[in-house]
Amino acid sequence: MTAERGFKYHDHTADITVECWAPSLEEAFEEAALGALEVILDTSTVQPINSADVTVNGIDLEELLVEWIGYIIALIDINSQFYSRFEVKEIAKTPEGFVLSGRVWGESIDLERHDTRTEVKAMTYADMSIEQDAERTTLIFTLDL
Amino acid sequence: MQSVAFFALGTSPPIFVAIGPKCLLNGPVIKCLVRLLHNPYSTNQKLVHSIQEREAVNIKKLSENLYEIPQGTKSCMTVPVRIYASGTLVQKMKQDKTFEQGTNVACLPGIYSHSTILPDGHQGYGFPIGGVAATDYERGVISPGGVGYDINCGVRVLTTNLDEKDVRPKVRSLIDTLFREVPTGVGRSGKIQLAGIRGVEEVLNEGAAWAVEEGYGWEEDLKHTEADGNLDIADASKVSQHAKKRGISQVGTLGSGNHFLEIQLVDAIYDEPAAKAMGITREGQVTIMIHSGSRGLGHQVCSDYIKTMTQAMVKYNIKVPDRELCCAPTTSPEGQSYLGAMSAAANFAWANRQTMMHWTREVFSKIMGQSPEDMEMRLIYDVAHNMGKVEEHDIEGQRRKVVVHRKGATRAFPAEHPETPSEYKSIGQPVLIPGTMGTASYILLGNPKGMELTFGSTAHGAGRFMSRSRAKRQFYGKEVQSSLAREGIIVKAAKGIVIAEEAPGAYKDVDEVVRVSDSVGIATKAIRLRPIGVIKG
Repeated sequence: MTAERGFKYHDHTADITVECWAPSLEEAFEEAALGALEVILDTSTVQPINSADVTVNGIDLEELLVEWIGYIIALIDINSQFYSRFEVKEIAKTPEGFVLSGRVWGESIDLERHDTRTEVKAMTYADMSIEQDAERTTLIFTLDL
Repeated sequence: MQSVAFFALGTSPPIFVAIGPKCLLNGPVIKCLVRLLHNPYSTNQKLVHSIQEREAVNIKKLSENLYEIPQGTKSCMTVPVRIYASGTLVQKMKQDKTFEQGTNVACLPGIYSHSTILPDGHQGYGFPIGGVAATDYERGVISPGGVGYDINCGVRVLTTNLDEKDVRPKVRSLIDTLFREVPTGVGRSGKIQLAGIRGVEEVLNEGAAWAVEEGYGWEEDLKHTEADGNLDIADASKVSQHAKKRGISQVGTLGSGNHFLEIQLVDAIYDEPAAKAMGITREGQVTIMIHSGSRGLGHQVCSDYIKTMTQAMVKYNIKVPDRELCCAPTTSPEGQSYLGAMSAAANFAWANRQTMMHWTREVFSKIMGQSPEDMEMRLIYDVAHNMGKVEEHDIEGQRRKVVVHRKGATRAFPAEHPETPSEYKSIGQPVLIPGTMGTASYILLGNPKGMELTFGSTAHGAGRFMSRSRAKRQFYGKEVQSSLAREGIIVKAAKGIVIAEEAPGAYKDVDEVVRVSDSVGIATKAIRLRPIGVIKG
């Protein structure tokens, strides 16, 4: 019915709801990051030439997703970079919850080349859903714009 | 793409369903089911109530412009929900989760009197936007969701002695120059690079006073800023390094979305003596309005403390019906840390608006060929509309120390209130209600009735009723821009897409929101302003 992995947007009165899916949880988190960045700009205009390691943790998968997307949004300000490629190497279960280790690729902000759209204020828990089965993981989350 | 909205069904635990837009208008909901989704809190049962959701919220009309959702609607509610709105506005609120969120707020530990929804109420995170809650300082909680991600998002307006005839021929160059001088939009760094983390800490601890000391503005500006633009309980040490790093190059940046800087004309004066006290003497007089907040720094403070509060709720055994309402006792270490950090982020926002106002004065000076002093570019007032404040209120005959959460709600203190600036002691605190490009903005005044009804609060704007993606499908940036130009409003934005998303048609009617606020008595209408030039992020 749909591609093996991807994302799409749903209407929300003030903001935007992202639905993304992939065969594994890790890949679904990668799609979530791409879906969030595509709200901010056209990621095809960003070359993945610099990278940064990302490690985040959460008491449950919901918090992990909020931390992962929230961290990338913060990195844009902190490093003055946009990102276009995302890798989640592993999401591991720990006694405290979950830990994600991943890497993001992008480059320094260049407003002449980067086709920006709208600022994302924050990643939220609103209307969040995480569905997992053997073949597919689907994530739904809402960004505050 | 099928657009959808999410609703909760009356099961326990609730089942969340997604329905298409036609269902919202035509109902009944059950026939419009597109697909079922999991209960989003299914993995978080230790954090949330299992609540008997009602299929339709029971809303009672108590009087003209006043509705109530009774206390028993959810088992966790300890107070009812009060809605100050006209029938038309209530119908719009019914189309999203405004009422659902209002009832969730009524479950916050230590909440007094009622959970309040103001005339511009619409769906937010945890709290509805246009939501107010006062919680007991000693026995109640403080919730980052009651302040919002954009801490101290707010508005300032300054007056001039210029008239339409002076400015109209130069609007284009004023707007072009403002657009160059005030950084707007996604990814645009500010002109000010703070001296690292320590530089950010100075701003966090001093607020607008930092900006004035640095030469951005006049000493007298501070007296016309809520809390003098500096909350003394601000504590930069409670703000994370991560948040501080985000703030290094963000002082003096407008941001994106609904934030704006607008050149306006006085369109109508409803209260001449009060207008005069604010320096407004005639229709056609030029004013300038700035709407912005605490930028990435403030957003990060909110996100950081949502994580802290989530853990604190387990520690203090607090349960709330929505994770975005996570909270901690105000007097707990976590509550006090948030209060200090949130106040620091509020200071950052005041420094931000102060700096942008300074550049606005400089641009006017350059284009109009007069000094800001000669043009009498005085700040009328600056007021927050996303804020948590420790205040004292008379509640059921007793003086109580409370935390007033104002989420998309403007403080509106009456005449003679100790926190109303001395120049405005006889008229009440100016309340600034921004429109959206193309629609009017208003200056109202705080009214004693607001202290009784809404803990001294009123609406903060029109409030969206159309999603951004629907607005983009319905409007084209260029068309909106040219139609506004035909009405004599010049709009310049970093991206056309923002103009479509922010099209006046995507918002509720600001005139109706103000009419209801005035008629209920939670603020009194004083001045109507209309835009002639707008810059957007």
